[in-house]
Amino acid sequence: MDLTTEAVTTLAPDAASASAGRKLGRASAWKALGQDATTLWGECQGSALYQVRVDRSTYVTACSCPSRKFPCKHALGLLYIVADDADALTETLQPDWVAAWAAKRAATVERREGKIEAATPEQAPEAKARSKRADKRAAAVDEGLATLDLWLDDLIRGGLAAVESQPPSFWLEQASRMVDAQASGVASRLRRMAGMPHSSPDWPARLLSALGSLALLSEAYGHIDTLDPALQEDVRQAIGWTLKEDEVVARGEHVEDDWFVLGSYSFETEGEHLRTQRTWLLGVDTGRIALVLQFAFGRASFATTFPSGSRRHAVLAFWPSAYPLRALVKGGEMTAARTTGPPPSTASLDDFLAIVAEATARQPWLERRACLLSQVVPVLTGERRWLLRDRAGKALPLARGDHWSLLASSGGHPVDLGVEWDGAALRPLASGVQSPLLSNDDALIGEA
Amino acid sequence: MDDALVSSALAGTSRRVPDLTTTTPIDSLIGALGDKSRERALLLAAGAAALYDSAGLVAAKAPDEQAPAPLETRTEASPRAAALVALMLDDGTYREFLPEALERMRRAGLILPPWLLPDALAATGDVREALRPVLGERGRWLARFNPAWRWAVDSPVDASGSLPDDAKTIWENGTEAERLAVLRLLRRHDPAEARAWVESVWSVEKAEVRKDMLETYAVSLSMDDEPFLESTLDDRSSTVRGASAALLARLPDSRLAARMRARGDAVLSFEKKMLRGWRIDVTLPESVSKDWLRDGVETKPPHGMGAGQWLLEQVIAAVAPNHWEARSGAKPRDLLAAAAKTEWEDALLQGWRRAATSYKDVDWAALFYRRDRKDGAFSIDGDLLALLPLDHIEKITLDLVALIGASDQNGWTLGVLGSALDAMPTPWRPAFGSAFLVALRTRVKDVVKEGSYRYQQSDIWSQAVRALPPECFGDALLPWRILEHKDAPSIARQWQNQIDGFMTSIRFRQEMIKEIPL
Repeated sequence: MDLTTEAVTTLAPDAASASAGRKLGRASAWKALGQDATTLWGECQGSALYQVRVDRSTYVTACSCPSRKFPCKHALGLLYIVADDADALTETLQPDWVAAWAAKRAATVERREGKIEAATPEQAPEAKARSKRADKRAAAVDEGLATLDLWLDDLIRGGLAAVESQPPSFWLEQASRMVDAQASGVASRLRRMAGMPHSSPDWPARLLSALGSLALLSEAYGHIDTLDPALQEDVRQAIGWTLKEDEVVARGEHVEDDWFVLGSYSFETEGEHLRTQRTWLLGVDTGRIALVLQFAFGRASFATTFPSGSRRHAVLAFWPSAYPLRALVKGGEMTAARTTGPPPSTASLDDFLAIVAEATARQPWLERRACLLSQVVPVLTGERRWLLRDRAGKALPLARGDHWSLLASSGGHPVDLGVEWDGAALRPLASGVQSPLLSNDDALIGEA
Repeated sequence: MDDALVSSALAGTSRRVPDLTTTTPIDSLIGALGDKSRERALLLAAGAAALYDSAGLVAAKAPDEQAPAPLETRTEASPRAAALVALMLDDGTYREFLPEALERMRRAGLILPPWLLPDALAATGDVREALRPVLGERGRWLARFNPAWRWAVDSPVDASGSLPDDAKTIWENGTEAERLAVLRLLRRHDPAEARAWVESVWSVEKAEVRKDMLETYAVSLSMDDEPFLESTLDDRSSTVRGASAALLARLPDSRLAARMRARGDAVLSFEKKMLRGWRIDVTLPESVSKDWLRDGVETKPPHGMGAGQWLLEQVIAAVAPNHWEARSGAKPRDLLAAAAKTEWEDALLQGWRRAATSYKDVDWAALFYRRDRKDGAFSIDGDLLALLPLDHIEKITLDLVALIGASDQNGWTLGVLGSALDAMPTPWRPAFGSAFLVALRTRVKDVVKEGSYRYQQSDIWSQAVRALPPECFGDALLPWRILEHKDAPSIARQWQNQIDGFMTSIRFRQEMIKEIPL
């Protein structure tokens, strides 16, 4: 690996990081230094033991320290060591904490490259190689799910009460085995289960639901060929297969409409520098709901901005599914909207829940769904519970946390509000300045 | 999720055969499973049950409706104005303009838009007073939901003027701060009633509170207050006695003032010499009797001062300066000169300085506002300067601008200019503002060219930003020509930084004034 000290210095975000990194660029400050064909890694003793991994081909770094700089001084230290002496890192097998990261990155990179790669016709040798890889992957997943089934059976044999006292590694190790088996969707379900024991009084029922859902997924995969082709896509995606952008455009449903932005929110994946943004769109004429996902590393901004309450004309291509939801903007092109009237809204919470029920019946692994609710009022009860109340006098809980902006915007008066439902609570998709709230007389506030 | 399924899962299939009857349509699905292990069957049943439950979910009945926010009676500020207020609430840099912006909003009859209310309600400190009038009905409605925002709904004792209807209730039941605020307001409207209130609770209040209440008498102080104040000179707390004495000293017709004058007359004697001008003789009493102490005189001097000096200063400070003119027939200037010839000069000057301030004597203020030091530097007493006519203050200030940097080891020239600017009422008059900018531009240019005066940190820039009237903004934003001195380039840079900051702040204030027109 031809990495020079100067090259490492240019990677540093500022001079202070570079010099701090140089101070850590001595093997004596590190434990568990290692490398293989794709990755470099090491553990650095700072105020705690920090784990650093570096992707060799892109120099993307990940460190468990809380620093907001990329690369942080620990990562720089590791790179300085390598630049000084490439043999300072022993060639060895990746420990679990490296493998988990590397595999996750591979899945993410594949997703991102799917967006960037132009649609080029495949050559025969390429197609053959691709099909070989696909077979290899299918075999890995088969094997992985077989071990998962055994593991699940063991778990239920012993009982959830016994699992209650297991440490998080019980779940996380199984998750990383699933990552190795290229079933990253299964892995993230397992990771979420790690947090369930003791998280609430009804945790056994919640954990059992999650385990049951996972078992259904594995069972469905077992006879996937008997399923409807559209549902087959959902099963594969739930397991962890991803599609490249050009595949989505080629195979998925296209819908042209004025798309009204209900709202967006973003979050960071635990321990990674990867941020995900979820944007929900509502077709003004078709009434279709779409979810656009975007990803960004570190402090990079997301490629497209979707201001809440704005509307743009576009063709969306949906991921093939029994209940198509996830979509991308075809060609990334959006033009001025052609409609001005209010977008279609859902009249009551029970109407929305009925829509969700119908969606779940068609796609059982659906995790969330959004809509534009009409004439709802945010409520803060005396017991400090946040609810959303509809004009039929029914209510559902709002997501954890405070919703002061929403309460201020509504003032106790009915508003139209985009929301996302995850099976347990409603997350408002807008609040604050760019509110897409429609007043009683349907005038649009905050139109971009 | 069926309880039977959950308890089977908790126990584990090794301990107990799972009960897979759910008495729902799932049972027929389970029946159709065929040859599966018990574990598998339980998991699949649970998965199906979870789906079944989620599909069957319906919303709960909502609690009773709460009253929504009343309709607003005033208009919202423009989006840009609201954005500026939001910036000032978050950002420390322009926070100093927030009170002006909010006051403008209040005068223009504007309120904050709903989206800004949570940030506004979260504000702490003095700015709350300025925020209250612009919260609108919705702000007050919203505040009721969060205990931390109580300040917005609590009875506003509006410092700017009218007595609230429930003043008496606040007086009887409010917090310390609220009671004093309402008392201060009442002093303005009805001092007699205020006196009655204070006298009715006097005996039960703590010393600290009694002192605070006495201090409200400074508002609309008159001889009607004299009898009560005189009686409090016997209070058991020294801080209370001191507060009363200070108030009584300001009433020339009070008994305390008369006693002080008598003491002063006994201590000072004046004589006019033919050729040598005026002469002052000081005769202090051997011991201080109880009636002196009762009138607030302290015997223990501050550190570094003689007991006699301290006694003299206190007596002089309590007597209106023009009394000396009347008694001796001398002019203030003559008395000043005579004092310089005694060994009591410091005590006399300090006493007269304090007397000039508390009696707001303009002639004496003109003599005393400036205190010269031996090294040629001097300081300015802003309180005394503020007593002079505005024309004089403006002229003195402009002269100080011309002095910046001259013979300045310690930045004192910027310091005295700052004191003078403090004494000026704001906003400055446009003519003064323009003249100030011209003088400052000239002086800065010369100072930098001379290259000798390293810039010292000073508040004059932020004082100017706040006090310049809008008519002067155009002048303020004209380019400032700074030519570097070749041997001292950093000096130019320091001044330039200050000027850049000044211009940015002016632009901000300009924008704010434009967005909130009155």
